[in-house]
Amino acid sequence: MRREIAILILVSVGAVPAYFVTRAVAAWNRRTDARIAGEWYRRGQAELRAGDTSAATESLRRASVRDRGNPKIALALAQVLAAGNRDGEARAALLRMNETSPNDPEVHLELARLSARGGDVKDALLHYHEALNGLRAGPEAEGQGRRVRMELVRFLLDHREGRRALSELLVLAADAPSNADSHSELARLFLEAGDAARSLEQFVEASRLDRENAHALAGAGEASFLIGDYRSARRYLERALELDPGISKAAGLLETTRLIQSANPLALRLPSDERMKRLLAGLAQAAKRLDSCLEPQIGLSASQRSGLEQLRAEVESMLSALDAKGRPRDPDLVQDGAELVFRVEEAASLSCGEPTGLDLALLLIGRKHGGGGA
Amino acid sequence: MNLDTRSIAEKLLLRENHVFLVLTILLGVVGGLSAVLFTLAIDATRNVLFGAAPSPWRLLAVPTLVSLVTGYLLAKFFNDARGSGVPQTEAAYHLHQGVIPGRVVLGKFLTGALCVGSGHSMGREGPSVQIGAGIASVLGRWLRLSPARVQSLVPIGAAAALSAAFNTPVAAVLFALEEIIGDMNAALIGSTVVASVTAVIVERSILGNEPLFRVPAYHLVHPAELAGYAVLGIVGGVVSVLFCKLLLRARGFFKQMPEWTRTFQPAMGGLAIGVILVFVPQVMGVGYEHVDQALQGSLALKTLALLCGVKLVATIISYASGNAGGIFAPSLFLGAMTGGAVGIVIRAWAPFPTGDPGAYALVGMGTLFAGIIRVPMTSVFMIFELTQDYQILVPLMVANLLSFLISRHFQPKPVYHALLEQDGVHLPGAASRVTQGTWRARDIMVSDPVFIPVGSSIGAAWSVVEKDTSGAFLVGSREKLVGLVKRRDLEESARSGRVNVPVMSLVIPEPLHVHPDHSLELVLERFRGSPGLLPVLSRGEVHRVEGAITLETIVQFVRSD
Repeated sequence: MRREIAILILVSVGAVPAYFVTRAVAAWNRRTDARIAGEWYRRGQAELRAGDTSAATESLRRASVRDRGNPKIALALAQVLAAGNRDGEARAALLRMNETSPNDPEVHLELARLSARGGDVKDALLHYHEALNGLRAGPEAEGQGRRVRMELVRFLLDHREGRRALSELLVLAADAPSNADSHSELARLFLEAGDAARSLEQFVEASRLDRENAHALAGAGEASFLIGDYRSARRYLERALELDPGISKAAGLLETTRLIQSANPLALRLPSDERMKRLLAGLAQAAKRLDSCLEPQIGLSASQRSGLEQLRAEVESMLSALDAKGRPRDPDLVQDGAELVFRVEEAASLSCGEPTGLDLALLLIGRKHGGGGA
Repeated sequence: MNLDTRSIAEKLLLRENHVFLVLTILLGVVGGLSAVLFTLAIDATRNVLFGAAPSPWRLLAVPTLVSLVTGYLLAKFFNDARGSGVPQTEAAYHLHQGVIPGRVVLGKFLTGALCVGSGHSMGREGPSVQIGAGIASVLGRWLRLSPARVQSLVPIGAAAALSAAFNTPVAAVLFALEEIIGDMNAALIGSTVVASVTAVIVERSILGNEPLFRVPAYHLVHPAELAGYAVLGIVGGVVSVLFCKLLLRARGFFKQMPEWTRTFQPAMGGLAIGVILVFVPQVMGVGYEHVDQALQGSLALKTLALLCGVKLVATIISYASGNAGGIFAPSLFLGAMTGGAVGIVIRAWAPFPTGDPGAYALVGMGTLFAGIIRVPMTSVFMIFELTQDYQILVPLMVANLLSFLISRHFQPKPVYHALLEQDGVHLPGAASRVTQGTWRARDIMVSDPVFIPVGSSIGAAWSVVEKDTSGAFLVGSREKLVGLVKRRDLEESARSGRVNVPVMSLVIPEPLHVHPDHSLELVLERFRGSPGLLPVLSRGEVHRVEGAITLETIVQFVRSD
């Protein structure tokens, strides 16, 4: 019995160093694997930079096999798989990472991008918010958070989710850094989201911080134009073009703004001759627009054609009523004439496409005055 | 038996029970450590020999040169360490009372790590089983346990090692019961569970809790998908049969080569593997990383089919040429590739919605395992344990059962048993393992039959057996039976004057025979087809004669009973 007990004790005692030796060998193996994984990772990154996604995928996969627990490698592999349009594999890899570290913002961001690419708005929103929630406090995280939220806003705007985008933009605006670029970017996004007033505030702030920023001024001009404040729009746009004459969009807007200001028959404090002159010019333009619309090559439906023909007759009738020699002083007739112009432009824009030049100016004047049935 | 004697016997039994319990836990620790160390040794060997990105020359040279070394070691020192280790463990358990020499354990560890680490397409689980079982056997004998106890330690050590090598404790227990012992109701179930759980604790404390495979979530998308899994079962069965038949044929080819070539056969296999690795390095070694990719659905149909075909060929070459390594991992690899490929085809053609190809790869692993290794319960529970998902059971059972049935129909002998038979070892079947309630061949046979020496002439042979009334006689010696000669043929030849003709001209080679543990029913059935004498051959050495059964011995046995 003593011999048996001695052997059992001997084997048990021997198992202890054997255990630690095995652990040491395991640790050595892990280090070797990590080193080899590192080599494959670097090779994969180089291949990725060279644009060889397929080779990069293979290299990163090898790296991942050698060091399965390394989140950096796993994330890089998922990213390269996503870049190679292997969304299913990328998603599986990210979901596996998500199981082990459920609050990793990088993983959620990649999942959000995959969902966004697949058009799954709900899932994308969920992962974008998880990514934002997962970011720890700190200046670096703040910057990252802004980038993620900006990406989220763009995604929402791309998917015509303007209201959701606006609420994200408000959060973004609340802690935006005070520099011209940041305000300009926010302003552009507000503009895209359809909030011209907030866009104008951001552009004005940007141009205040950087007085020579032509693009901020042009943006402010555009926002003012959309609000209907053509005087301010003209001021901002002229200043922008002074600083940078190459901003073509600003030049176009300025031209339209000038036309709006010079063609409005309902503008305040106009001499009656000038008002009448503008009205007649407007009616003449409306008649021209209708004539071009009613040309046979324009594919109009019967109801559209008859509607436009009726408007054309009304224009003729109004022009007769406003005969230059027996020109009546009745202000209601001026109002009716202006409204007819606006109705013509509105109807023509619906049936014959977007107007340009003076037609556009007349349409916008009409919309500002609530005319044209708008 | 007086009181004192009984008291001593009880004390001895109590002592042995205590030692056995402690030993079971200790075996869990040591068996687990040995399996983990073996796995690490394989990885370290691969890292050292191949580095991060091996050149084609290195891929060619490493398996060839390393196999030259292992070939020498295997031929000179560790002949029992060739191949998987599972059949040898079964033979040790059933035929040698659990005796596995310590030299075999050392040899298996060394040559197994070198062979698998140098790129041979083989698995680590089989060698781990033999190493674990061998350690158990050595410890049991050091402790001077009874032969029955030593025998019962073998499956315990095997379960511990497999549990640590494959990280599936339940499947390891089932494997020990189903394959090694061959009896799911074995009394050893408690001990194997203890050892298996202990081993897996040791393994996880060293290697961590990360699973062997990153298994995808499993869903049976549509009830009709079961038909898809049935197709997988059929394809899996066919691939299993193909693998087993080709493996046995290739091994038979190598075994027929001259004896002096045995030292170089592993290197011949190594050279062939080197050539394969240059073009398809994915079949190197255990290959679980590629199984993982198949499970993730990352491989295209062409890649899956290519890897399945090349792995099948590579494993057959590695194993048949006499290297040390198992077929457990290759069968899982083949299953994952087959399953993934079938999954992609079914997804493209099925008129019903189907799951990811990764799900088919997962079920395919169990399917090929059931078809090749022929352990249906283990195959089901192994995959279930990997997924821990109840939903997979029904598809798995459908596919496994079909694969098992097809494999059994076309290849009746399980591959491990067939491999042993090529080495002249016949394992007992299920009926022979019943130890009570039936008479055996050993109870009927005469243990000192008459032998006609191989070089005898017909005249000399007839003079030896003339007075014996048996219908046939054994030709050869107790150590090596050459065949039988019928009494009538011998008598006719002797009387017709052909006395100088060698007796070998009348010999019937490979006659019907029985083993000592065969039942009386089987003896009588085979005796009916015999020429009047049924040799009783050893299971461990199938040419060694243990005795003979004639009509006279049967009559004598009936009378004496």
